[in-house]
Amino acid sequence: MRHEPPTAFTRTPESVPVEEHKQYDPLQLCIYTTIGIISWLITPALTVAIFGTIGVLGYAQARRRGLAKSRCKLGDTRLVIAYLAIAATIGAAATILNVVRFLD
Amino acid sequence: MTLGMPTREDRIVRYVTAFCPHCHDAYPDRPLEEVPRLSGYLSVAEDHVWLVRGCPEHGKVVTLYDEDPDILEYLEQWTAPTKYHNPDTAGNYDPIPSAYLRGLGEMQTQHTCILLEDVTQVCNLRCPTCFADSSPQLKGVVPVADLLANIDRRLDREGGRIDVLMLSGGEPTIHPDFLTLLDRVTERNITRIVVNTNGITISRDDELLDAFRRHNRRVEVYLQFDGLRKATYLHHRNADLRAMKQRAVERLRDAEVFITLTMTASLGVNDDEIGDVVNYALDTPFVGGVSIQPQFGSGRSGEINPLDRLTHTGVLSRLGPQTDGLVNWDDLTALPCSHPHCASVGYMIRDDSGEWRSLVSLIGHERLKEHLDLVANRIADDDLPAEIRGAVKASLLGLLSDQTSLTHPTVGELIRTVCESCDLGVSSLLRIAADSGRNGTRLRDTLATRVKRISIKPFMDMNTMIEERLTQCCVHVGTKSEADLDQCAPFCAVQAWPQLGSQKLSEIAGARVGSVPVTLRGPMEVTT
Repeated sequence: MRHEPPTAFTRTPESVPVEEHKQYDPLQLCIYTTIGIISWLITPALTVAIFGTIGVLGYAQARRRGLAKSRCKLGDTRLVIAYLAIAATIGAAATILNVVRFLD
Repeated sequence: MTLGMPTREDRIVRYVTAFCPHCHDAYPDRPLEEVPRLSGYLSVAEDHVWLVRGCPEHGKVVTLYDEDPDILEYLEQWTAPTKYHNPDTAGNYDPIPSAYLRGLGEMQTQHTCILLEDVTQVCNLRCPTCFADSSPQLKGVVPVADLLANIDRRLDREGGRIDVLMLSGGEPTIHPDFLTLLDRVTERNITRIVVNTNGITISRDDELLDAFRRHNRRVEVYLQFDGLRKATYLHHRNADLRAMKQRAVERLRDAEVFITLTMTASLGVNDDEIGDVVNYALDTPFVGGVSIQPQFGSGRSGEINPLDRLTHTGVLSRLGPQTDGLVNWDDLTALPCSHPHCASVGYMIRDDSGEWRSLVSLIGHERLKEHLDLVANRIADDDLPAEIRGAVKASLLGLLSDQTSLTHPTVGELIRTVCESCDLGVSSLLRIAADSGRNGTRLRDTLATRVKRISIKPFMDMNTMIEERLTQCCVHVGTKSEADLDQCAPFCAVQAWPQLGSQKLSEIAGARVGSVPVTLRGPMEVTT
């Protein structure tokens, strides 16, 4: 049986370290360039297969944890997973085709 | 890195005006003008909703308000326009609670859906938990003329019609002139008369049962029914009343009187019996429904832990697990006309295959909201013509109101309109409703077995009292002002503040009781 209210109402708040105002960091531009280099080096099809697979795993985990709606344009996480799975499959198929052509 | 204030651990959901339970306990008779109205808020922490208010004397006072924040948020979606009222005293802008000393004030925002008259202080039980503080030792019996004067004043204020009159007490059926009272009130323009009773007199008094049978189109019995276990009755009523309750139910059923089982539910006592009582109601003809009332701390009440108690959303969340998923919390909605925290209601309808389904699940939540105009209407005109939409909305608002139960004369029509227009496929129910004609006997028989109303009614005590719920309250108790004028005041306020309680007609009768002996109906001792 409970005899005390939640600590949220009883704790005296103490000041805590907070991050200072962030400088603008165009990190995403760096990421896009890096992905471009990777796909240049290991072929676009393989890049799509790898990132598609990672995306499917990531979204499946997020969905299990309750993410029903993504910020992605597709919205519903089930749609996002389907899109990524199709992309990964096409990427894998194209990679195999490329390898076969190369060996021929 | 630099220093700053941390983010709150709680999430504030509503700012409210509340009252201090410690101040109230220390001085319950404090003049109402001096009752401090405190700034406060409802806030979510540790998955519960808490009422937090700041008292100049006791500091931050935190009490449990509701157990499930998600269900409370769901209930808040269901609000519809309230109705105008006529204040008892024109120009009464006094603050709450002192405003109620002169009846409903100008700032009340809802009319009287239910007028409750305490016809006597006396009871043939002395329950350990009784918000009205009734007992066999008390003497107050209100003369019929005084009751009718108060009722007639309310009829005036309500434009000539009262939706529901509730006769309560004490035990109203032991009032010496109860049968005369029943005859007099049924002559008036009152849609439905409800008698709150423990059932003892009904279980033995044939004359009383005949009166109920005679008026069974308009009179319904709210039968105290706390569960099916002996221990439950010993806790709440100090006696094993199970056999008597069963007798009362059978006699009322045979007299074709609709019964609503009113269950006082307490944490650790009978909160695990909610499903059993619902199932009993579903299985028993002429039990039109269940009203589950979490125990509240006004009047003579057992100790309630203000931090760990059964609440409105707590009852709702127990429905599913205790009925094997037959009735779930989202089969109910908040009463749209009342404050969404004050009551929830749902209808269960047995379809042609014998399965119980809720009206909400038959219609669908979003569609129901659209019909009630609670959300932007997305139904195309060719999908449902405007006049049918209007009829469905009126019917649904009628069904989902505090005034309605299965004895309401229009309830069959309401269900018929709703079901027919929404094409719900409960065909034989509709056919019977359509064929029922003027006397409606077949419809009554059908309603008796195939439609049940489940409601949760959490009354407020000082640990959960917030002003906005009093302002929007529509369950009003008949009172008399110092100037001897008939008036009324919100139920929870009357139970919580003794000054308002002393204005009840039964208390006034008790205070002036003198040498005139009163003979009550039926024996006062309880044998079971």
